[in-house]
Amino acid sequence: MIESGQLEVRAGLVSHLARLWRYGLVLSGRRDVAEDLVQATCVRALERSSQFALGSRLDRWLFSILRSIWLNELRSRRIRQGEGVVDAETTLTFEGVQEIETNILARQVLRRVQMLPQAQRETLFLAYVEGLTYRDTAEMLDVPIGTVMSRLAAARESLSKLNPAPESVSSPQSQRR
Amino acid sequence: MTEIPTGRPADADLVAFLDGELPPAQAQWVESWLARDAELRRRRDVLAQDGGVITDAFEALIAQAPEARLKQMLLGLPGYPVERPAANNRRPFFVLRSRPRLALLAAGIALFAAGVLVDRFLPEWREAAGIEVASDSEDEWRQAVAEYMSLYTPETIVGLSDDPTHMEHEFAAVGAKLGINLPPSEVSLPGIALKRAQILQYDGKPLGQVAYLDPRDGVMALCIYADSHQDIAPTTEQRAGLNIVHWASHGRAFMLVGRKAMPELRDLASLLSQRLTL
Repeated sequence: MIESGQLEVRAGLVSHLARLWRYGLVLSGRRDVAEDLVQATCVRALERSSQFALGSRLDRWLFSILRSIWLNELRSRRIRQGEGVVDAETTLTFEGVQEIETNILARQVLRRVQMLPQAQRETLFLAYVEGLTYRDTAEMLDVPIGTVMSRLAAARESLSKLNPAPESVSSPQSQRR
Repeated sequence: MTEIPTGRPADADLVAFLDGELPPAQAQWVESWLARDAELRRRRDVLAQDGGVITDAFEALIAQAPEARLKQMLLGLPGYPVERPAANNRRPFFVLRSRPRLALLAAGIALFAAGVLVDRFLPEWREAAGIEVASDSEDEWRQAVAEYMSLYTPETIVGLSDDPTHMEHEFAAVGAKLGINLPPSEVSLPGIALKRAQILQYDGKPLGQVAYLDPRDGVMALCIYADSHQDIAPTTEQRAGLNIVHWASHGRAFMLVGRKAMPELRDLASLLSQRLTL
């Protein structure tokens, strides 16, 4: 059975790379860090593949590894290096603007999400984008369900406040960096 | 979340209600307040915005993931999914296609259990890692077998019958085809389950496979190829990420292949080479 778990991790990793990268981007706000996070997650997952419980969800297992690496290793290293954690100028939207520029609404939403506090952003991402239940979200973040509820409520309120006055839409060219 | 509050629902309750995350009794509590509280309804409408839009926006991000680079990175990691051959041994995949193919003679025995896994990773790693192709034709069968065995998972063989009578017949038939004495008792190994003997072919000549399932190291196989021109003393090598001990005597080439550590594999091969007779 141990062997099967290992094989499942090896075989399944490749199909989760893009979603892992996106989670890394949500956490770090930076594409290069997101890529580092995916690599570190893959290394750790292969090392610990025997710990993966067959029949459980590989994506959740990988997400929790990525999160743990971000919290315990990469984030602190970045802070020590003085690079900052989430710089408003290197946000999801700015980093991804080239390809999204045809989708103004998506860009606006991502920009707003990026403005949310880290905890709210991550909770919103897990619950609404990755589709985790409140309970699974709480487990992933190691917080009570009530905290998930209040973070989501706060995030929704922030997003709704921005709704009546969306950003002024500039031409795609001016959005490029 | 099981107790029903008595006060006015807060934003968090409204959001959980909108997300369908409240237990029925609590949802009823929110509904009853909404029915009589216009201000709460306005609040609900404010919080209800932006649901699907967020999901869609993040979908756009997935498309931007540097997926090709990430896959390349993954392929370069140690242990994924096999040890990569050294760079100077790399050959493109098409070279493999020109070689004789290992084929199953026994009908219905396909890569059944391994199928899902294989579908998902085999094309990628072959393409990127290249396939090490031995220059000596005496070696080629071992490369083919190693690649084939690398597709096995414990599930491939775990469900096979271990009925003694059935196995006696099966092993006798395979032994007869190879011209070798092959009763289960002679190829049994301590602490490792004997699962199956079957005949395959390589380059038009019979190739026998005796499959084992080790509780710790997974699938292991003794493969016997009835086309060897010279005797070879037990020799170790690695192919397709698997450890191999191979030897040859009396016109038969043998290889013991699996993920078991080399020293143990060598001991087991030594045991088998002493037992197996024509």
